[in-house]
Amino acid sequence: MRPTRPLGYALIGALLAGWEAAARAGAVNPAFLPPPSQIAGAWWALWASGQLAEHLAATLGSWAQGYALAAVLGVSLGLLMGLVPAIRAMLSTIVELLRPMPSVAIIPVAIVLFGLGDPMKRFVVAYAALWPILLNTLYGVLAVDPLLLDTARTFRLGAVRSALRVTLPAASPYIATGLRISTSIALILVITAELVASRSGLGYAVRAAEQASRVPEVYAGVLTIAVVGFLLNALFVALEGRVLAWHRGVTAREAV
Amino acid sequence: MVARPVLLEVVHLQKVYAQRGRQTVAVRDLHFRVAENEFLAVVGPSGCGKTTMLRLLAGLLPPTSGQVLLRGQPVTAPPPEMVLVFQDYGRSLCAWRSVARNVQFALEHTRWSAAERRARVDHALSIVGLSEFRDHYPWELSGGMQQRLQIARALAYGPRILLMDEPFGSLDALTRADLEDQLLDIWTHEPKTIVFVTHDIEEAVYLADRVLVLSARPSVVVEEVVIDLPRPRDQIATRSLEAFVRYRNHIFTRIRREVAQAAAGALAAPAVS
Repeated sequence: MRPTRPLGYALIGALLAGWEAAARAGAVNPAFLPPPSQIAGAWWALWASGQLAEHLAATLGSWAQGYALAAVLGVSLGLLMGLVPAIRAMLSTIVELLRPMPSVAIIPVAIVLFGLGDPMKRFVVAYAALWPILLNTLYGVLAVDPLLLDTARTFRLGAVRSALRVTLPAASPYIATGLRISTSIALILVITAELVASRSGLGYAVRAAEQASRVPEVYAGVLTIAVVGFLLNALFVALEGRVLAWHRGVTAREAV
Repeated sequence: MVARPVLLEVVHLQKVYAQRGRQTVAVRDLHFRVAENEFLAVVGPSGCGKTTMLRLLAGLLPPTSGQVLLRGQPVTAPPPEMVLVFQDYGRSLCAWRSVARNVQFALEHTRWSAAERRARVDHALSIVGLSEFRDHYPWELSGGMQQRLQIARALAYGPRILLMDEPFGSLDALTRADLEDQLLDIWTHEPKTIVFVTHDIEEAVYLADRVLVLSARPSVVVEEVVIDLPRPRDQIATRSLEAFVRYRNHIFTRIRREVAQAAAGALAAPAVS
């Protein structure tokens, strides 16, 4: 991956330069595809006015609150389902019914329940982000080596300690996968909710700009969303690398 | 041999697994006693239910009938003074914990003070020679070191009884000899009762006070051999003794006969399983 990075950046630079040239030469209609310099200008204007920061804060706030709720609920429920067969039997049918439904379909329900404000966004994000976390936690718990659980038993750890000190850490690579998948799903849902029904956030800003035909602002908003997604993912990968350093060591060993 | 008080009593122990309507007898009728501070080795043909037996002894598995008595009290759950050391050290260690914290794993829920726990961790690591590796992770260690770590974890817990399930079975010959001597050393300096399951007859004779020979599955004790060899034992001197070779050959012949009989039995009655 690493050695191709400079090449990748070079290509992006070339594409932007080509775009700029094409837009200026009139090869494309700048009303629909304004040159990057104009988009950058619009972005800067939005940033300088403080509007962009406000929308960014609204989006990240809903994202973080919904995501945190999903993480707490998903890990707890996944752990319980994995550990207690009766709870697994009870909940798995509901999970199997709800999970395949595209999460965006919950937005109308959320609007009915919560109106157009932040609580609606939080709910939508939490709902969508829940499933990958819940299911990956469940699979992780089910995949814990029985010998490790016997080890906990021979040292008389007890059910709760065994769950917290053995099952949870042993399942953590799976849980991390669920959490990583959900970072982007949560972002998709918060932006979608803002696009279709909200008065704040980056998604709303893009929609408002589009309805007012402020095309460079549309692009500036979309660009900001892309950067947010990229940064959130990078942040998560960095965190995961720190917390799960042991797991990378184990898998590297197994690969040898 | 001086008569020592009985610590562990295995009374007509039986374990039958029921799987999809079929019954498999893993342990038919085990009956034996283990004395205080005795080193007992158990050998038998492969698949003779040795692991099942240890799990029954450790209170990890309920017997179908019979019972295990520890100081006269039936074992129904893992007793506090007993620890099982597994063959598969790699799967039994916590990969996310450093060496020292793996040992600490056995102590975190005990009544000992933090200072006492630290002292126990340090002591256990020094006994098995892993003090320098305390901040390493298990997967950074060799197989022999990982098994030493598992033994250190068990020792730190301070059990009166160590149950060991083919602990050196997957190690190379030199590492294995090294760990056998370390184990004898530990046992000499901090006496405890050890029930050591192995498929290696020479290992059993070399380590133990007494060797139980199990039949092919379903297991019963077919013979008990008291090993009257001088201690401390030595990898070269002990194994060169005529008596050592005699014990080894005797047990070897006995197990071979067991395997042959089991095969003949299986031929005679193929439907029984």
